[in-house]
Amino acid sequence: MDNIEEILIQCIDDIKAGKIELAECLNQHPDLRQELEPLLRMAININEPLTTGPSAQFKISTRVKLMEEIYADQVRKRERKGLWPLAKPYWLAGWSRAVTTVVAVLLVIVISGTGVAYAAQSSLPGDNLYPVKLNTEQLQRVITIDDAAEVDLELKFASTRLDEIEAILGLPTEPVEVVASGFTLNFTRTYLEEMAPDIVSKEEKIALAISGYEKNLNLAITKAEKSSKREMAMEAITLNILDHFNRLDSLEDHMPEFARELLTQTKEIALNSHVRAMQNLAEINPGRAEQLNREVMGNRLNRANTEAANSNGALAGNTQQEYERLQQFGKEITGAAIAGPETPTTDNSDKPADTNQNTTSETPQTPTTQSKGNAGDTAGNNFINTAEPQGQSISPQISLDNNAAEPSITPGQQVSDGSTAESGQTDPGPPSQSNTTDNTGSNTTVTAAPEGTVVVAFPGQGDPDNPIVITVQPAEPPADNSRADQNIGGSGSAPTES
Amino acid sequence: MQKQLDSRVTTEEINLLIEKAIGGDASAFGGLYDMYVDRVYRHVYYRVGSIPDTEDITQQTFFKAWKVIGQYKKTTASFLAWLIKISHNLVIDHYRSGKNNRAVDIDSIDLASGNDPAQSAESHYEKEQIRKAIRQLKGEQQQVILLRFIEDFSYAEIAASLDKSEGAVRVILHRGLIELKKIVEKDP
Repeated sequence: MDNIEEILIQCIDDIKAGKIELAECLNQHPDLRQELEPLLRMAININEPLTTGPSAQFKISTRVKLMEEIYADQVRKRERKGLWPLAKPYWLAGWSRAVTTVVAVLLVIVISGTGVAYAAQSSLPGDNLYPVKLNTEQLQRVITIDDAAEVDLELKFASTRLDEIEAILGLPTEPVEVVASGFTLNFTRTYLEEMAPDIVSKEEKIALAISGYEKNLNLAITKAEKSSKREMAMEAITLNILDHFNRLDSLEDHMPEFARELLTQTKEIALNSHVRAMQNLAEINPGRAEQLNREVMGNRLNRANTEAANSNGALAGNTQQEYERLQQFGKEITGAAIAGPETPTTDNSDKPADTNQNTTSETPQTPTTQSKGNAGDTAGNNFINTAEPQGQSISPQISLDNNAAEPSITPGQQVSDGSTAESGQTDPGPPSQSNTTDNTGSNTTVTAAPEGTVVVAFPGQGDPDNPIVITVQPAEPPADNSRADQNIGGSGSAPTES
Repeated sequence: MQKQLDSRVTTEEINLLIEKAIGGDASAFGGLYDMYVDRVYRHVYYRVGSIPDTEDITQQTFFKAWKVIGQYKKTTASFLAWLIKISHNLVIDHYRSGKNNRAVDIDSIDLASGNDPAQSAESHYEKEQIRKAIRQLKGEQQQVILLRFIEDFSYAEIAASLDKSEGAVRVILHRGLIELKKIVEKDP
C-alpha cells in the first residue's frame, strides 16, 4: 500500500481534475479517512483568487522602468569597455528592437484605449490624472527610437505644456485677434477676472507646467546633441521656440497680472534654450546659427514694437532685454563664424569699428526704451522706420510715451554681427535693391517691394542662396514714394553704394 | 518542462526568448516579462498580502532576474519556477527587513469577484482563513503549497526549482497541509 503522502497527493490531483469526488476518495481509504478528510478539504479550498492580478498601469510602468534600467545597464557596460558610443546596444538592432517596439506600441494602444488614459490626456498639472498623462508621455519616449523623432517628441511635449498653460489661464488656444476684435479682448479679460478666486492654485499649476516645459526643452537639446542629425535637430528646436514665443506673446497680451512673472520666466526658458541650441548649431554651421538667431531677434524686435505701440513700457523693456541678449549672443556666433571653416574670405572683422572707411553708419546703437514723447515717429510702427532719411544707422530705439499712447521706434536696426542695417524707404514701384558688405564679407540687401513693404535680406554665412528675409509692412502708405535703395554697412565693413 | 502559458506562444518560442535574453537581448526579456509578470505578481501577492509590497517585490524580481539571467539553466527548472525562486528570496528579505506591516487588502479585491454575495461571503471567509494560514507557514512548506495549488506546478518542476527530490516535495506538501490545518484550527 502507498504511504499517506502518495495517497493524499493522488486524491488531491484526482479531485481537482474532476476525476473523483471527495467522498469517493475517502471511501477508497477508510482506514485513513480521519487523517485524509481535513487535509483534502483544506487542499481543495486553496484556490487562486479570481481577481488578484497586477493593474495595467503597474505592468506598463514596470516594463518601462525595466527597459530603461536594462538600457542604462548596457550603456554602462559599453562605457566600461570603451565601446560606447561607437556601437549602439545590440538589443536596439534588428528584429529584437522591432519586437520591443511592437510590444510597446501595443501597450500604448491598450493604455490609451482605456477611459482613464483618454481622460488623462486633457488633464492639467495638479489634476489627479496628470501623472497618468506624464506616464503616457514617458512610454512614448521609450518606443521612440529615431534620434530626430526623439527631439520632435520632446518639442511636442513642450508644446503640450504651453497648451496646459493656455488651458489653465482659460484662454483660447488660437491667438486672439487683438486689433480687430476688441469685443473678444474684453470678454477674455472679464473671464479671467472671474477666475480670480482660485488664482493661487492656478499659479501652482502654471508653475508645474513651466517646470515641465523646461524639462522638455532640456531633453530636446540633450537628445539633439547626441543625434546623428544634430544640425537639423538644433534648427528644429529654435524654429519651435519661435512659435513658442508667438504663443507666449499672445498669452501675455491677455493674462491677468498674477501670471505675468510666470510668463516672463517661461520666455526666459525659451530664450535660454534657443541660445543653447544655437551654440550647438554654431559649432557645426555658424552661418545658419547666425541666421536663425537673427530670425528670433526679428521676432523679439517686432514684439517690442507691438508692446511699445500698446504703450506697455514694462513689457517692451523686457522684450528689449531679450533682444539685447540675442544681439550679444549673435556677436559671439559671428565670432565663431569668422573662425569657422565656412567663414567668407572677405573678412574685415578685425578692423576697429571707428576706422571703417566709407561707412554711412554712425556708432551702432543698442535698442533702448525711452519714455519720451515721440508722436511724430509713429508711421508704420515697425522696427524700421521706412520714412527715415538715408545714411543713418538702423538701431531700434523704441520710443514710448505712455501719455500720448503713440509710441514709435526710431529707425535703425543693428544686426547681430555688428553690421548696421540702414533705413529703407518704401517704394510702391518695382523692387530695387542695394548691396553692401558687412563685417563678415557677406552682402546684405534692402529691397523696396512694390506693395509698400521693405524687405531686408541677410545672407546666411553658410547658405548664400537662402537668405533670411525680414519683411516690414507699414500700417499706412508712406508719403514719400522715393526708391529705397539703401546701403547697409557693418561696423567693420566698407559699404559700397550701388 | 516548460509550461505553455499562452496558446499563441509555443514552447519553442519561449525557449528562444529565454536563450536570447540570456544572450543579452532586452526585448526578449521584455517578452518574458509580459508572459510571466501576472504569475509572479500573484505568487508574491499570496505571500505578502499587500498590493504596494507585491508591486515592489514583483518589480525587484524582474530587475534581479535580468542581472543574473546568465545563471539560469533551463535544464533544471522552468523559467517561471526560476523567477518564483527569485521572488521567494525577495519575500524572505522583505520579512526579514520588517516591512511586512502593511495592511492586508485581499478583502477588497476578492469581494469584487462578482459572484452571489451570500455564497461569496462564505467562500470568501473560508478562503481568506486559508490564505492567512498559508502566510504563517514556514518557507518551504509555504512555497510547495503555493507552487502546487496556486501556480499548478508539477512535482517535478517544484523539485527542480527547490533542488529537492519529488519524494521530498510530496513529504513537504503533506506536512504543510497538516501544519495548515493546525493553524486554521488554532486561529479560526
